Amino acid sequence: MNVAAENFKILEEFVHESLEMVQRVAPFVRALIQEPDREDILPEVTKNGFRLFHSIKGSAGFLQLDHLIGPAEAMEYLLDRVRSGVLSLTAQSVSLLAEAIRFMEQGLPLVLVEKSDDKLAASAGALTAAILRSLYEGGKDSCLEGAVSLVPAEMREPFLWETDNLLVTAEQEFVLWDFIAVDHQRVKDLSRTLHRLQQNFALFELTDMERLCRALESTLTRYLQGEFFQTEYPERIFLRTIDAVRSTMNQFIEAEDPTVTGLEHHLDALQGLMRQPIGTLLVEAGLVDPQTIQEALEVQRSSQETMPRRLGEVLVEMGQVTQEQVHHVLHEQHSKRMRGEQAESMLADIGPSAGQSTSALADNHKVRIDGQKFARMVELIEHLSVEGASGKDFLPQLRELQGLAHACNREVLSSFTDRMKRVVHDVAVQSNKKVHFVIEGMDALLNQRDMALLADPLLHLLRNGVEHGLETTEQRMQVGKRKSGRLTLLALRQGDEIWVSVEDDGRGIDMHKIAALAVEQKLIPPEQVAPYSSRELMERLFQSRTSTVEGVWEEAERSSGLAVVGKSLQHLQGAIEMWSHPGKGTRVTLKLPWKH
Amino acid sequence: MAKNILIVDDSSTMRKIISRSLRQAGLDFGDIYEAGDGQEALVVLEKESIDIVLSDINMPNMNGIELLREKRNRPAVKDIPVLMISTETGEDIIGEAKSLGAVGALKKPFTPDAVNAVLGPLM
Repeated sequence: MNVAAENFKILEEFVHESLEMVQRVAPFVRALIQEPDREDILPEVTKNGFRLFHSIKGSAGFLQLDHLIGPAEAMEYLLDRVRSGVLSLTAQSVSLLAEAIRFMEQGLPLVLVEKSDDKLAASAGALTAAILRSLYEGGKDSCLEGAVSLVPAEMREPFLWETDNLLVTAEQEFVLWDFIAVDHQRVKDLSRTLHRLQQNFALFELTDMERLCRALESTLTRYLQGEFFQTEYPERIFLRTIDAVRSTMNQFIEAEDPTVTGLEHHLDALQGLMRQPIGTLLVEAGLVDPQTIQEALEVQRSSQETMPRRLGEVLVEMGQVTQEQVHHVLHEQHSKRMRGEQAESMLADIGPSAGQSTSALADNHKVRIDGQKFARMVELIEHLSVEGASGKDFLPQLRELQGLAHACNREVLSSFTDRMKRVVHDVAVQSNKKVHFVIEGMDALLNQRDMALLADPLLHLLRNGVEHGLETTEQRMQVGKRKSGRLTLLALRQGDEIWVSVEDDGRGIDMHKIAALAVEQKLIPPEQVAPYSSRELMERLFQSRTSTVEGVWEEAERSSGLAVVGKSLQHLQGAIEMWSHPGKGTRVTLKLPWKH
Repeated sequence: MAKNILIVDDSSTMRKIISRSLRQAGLDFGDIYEAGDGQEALVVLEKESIDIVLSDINMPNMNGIELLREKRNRPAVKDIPVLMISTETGEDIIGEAKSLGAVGALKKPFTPDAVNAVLGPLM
């Protein structure tokens, strides 16, 4: 990441301070490498090393120097374990420490000059991976057997947890791509999320997934640098890539198999999204250097001719490349794009709703409405504000205004429901399920703010309904259900609340099973479970969210995906209700005050 | 009256970053003082009129937790509110800090908004 100009002074200070600390630690580490038995200097090395990487991590976080954070965080983690006696400082970890110090010694001055840590990406990734791998493997042969054998599990759990969180975040942002694309800060944040994912995959050498995330990140970077997408709906490809990562993760968890099916197709599809200027293509092909491109651009700009010459022509004239080379890279780009399109059509077919334009529901509350209606509304408001003071009856104008407002809302609403349909469709295709999706009563959501606020929780519930609630066609036929699962999104106004529910006729959640599990784990006494029906049990559990039933709650949350929804609902001052019956289905109802 | 703030962190870069975040958050405060560890912090606390302390946890000589513990025993300074600033994700250590009287925590790297949310109520 590039350092913002306003941070240059801090960057300078950061680099100097860190290098000073490096100078303090380095001699001790060198001594330890030469004389591994020098136990007297171990505490010095551990303490100062920890301090060094701890403080680099902290400041690099603020300066958004992500490539410095990785190794610093990993080394801090390692030395913290050593400091607290969980790990001993092995020869291997000392040499990694030396390597990390060298990395900082050489990398920090570079960052200061470049005002960016991008050039460190590769070495940082490799170093971080090496450090964390040593932690991971350390469990097997360290002298502190008992304590250290926890390390693998300790590394794996947070890794899986964090990866899952990052994937959910990335996915939600890509679902909202239409709306976030204009907000470069938000795209930058998304790109950082992808970067974290990529680093996480690098740690465990899950190279396929790492490559996909890197390709996604670099696509966004290019978009931010002003390149254009060649397709109107790049998010289809983004989402499909995220889905590929997600299913590969599942496959990895279940079978330790980290291979992405159709990796090259996914990469081609991403590659095919962008059209690149000829200069970039030639640089990437290694035919010219960026400096030459700059010179050629100068020549092109200063040219007096009425028809500006193409950059390729200028370069040929300058004798930097041949005509054939220019043709070759252009041809390559073209065929890549064709491959991308082929890959796209091979990877999935997209339903008709996907093609429609959508507009509501982003956080920034921007909507697209009919220009004529808007003009008429402004006219009416003008009229009212002029005439209003005269005491005339302006009810007709108010009525018309109200009618127009409702019409606009309906337009916004239909794009909102289109988005829902699209997501359900996509998820159904991905999880290979047939879904009959019904939307009812959405008119109740007359205000656009409700829609914006509800978008995230609803998308999540719908996705969850398809992925976890509904069974596959085979499973449904086996138990005598209709082939396609039914998913209903229903909104209705009840007094001063809006109830929005997502219901499926899928496998349901077996509360008795969950409760039995809780009893078995001594989370709740049996007498709290036995007398109740599944429904009563669920209500009790959901209403009394005390620490004793926390484990049960978590289990139910996992099954229904409520954890994520609950988070979004905090803003809405709403409540969640849930009904579920094994074999019959699950319904989650969100109850919100309708006047905020 | 504008509040005086003491920033305690062993990294001078971090102290600068924190004081700049305070400015960016648009909070109205008086003077900013700095200390490199818990011991220095105690000296500044007793000498100057400090209203709020922002302290790192991991520091040499006397860390943030020890600072809280020590501060409790000094009547002149014990009521000055302390906010912990740390990259620690562990709830334990933040929990420990809170049980020792820390009034809140900010996780690095933080944004001006986060500073506002945590520090605003104290100003």
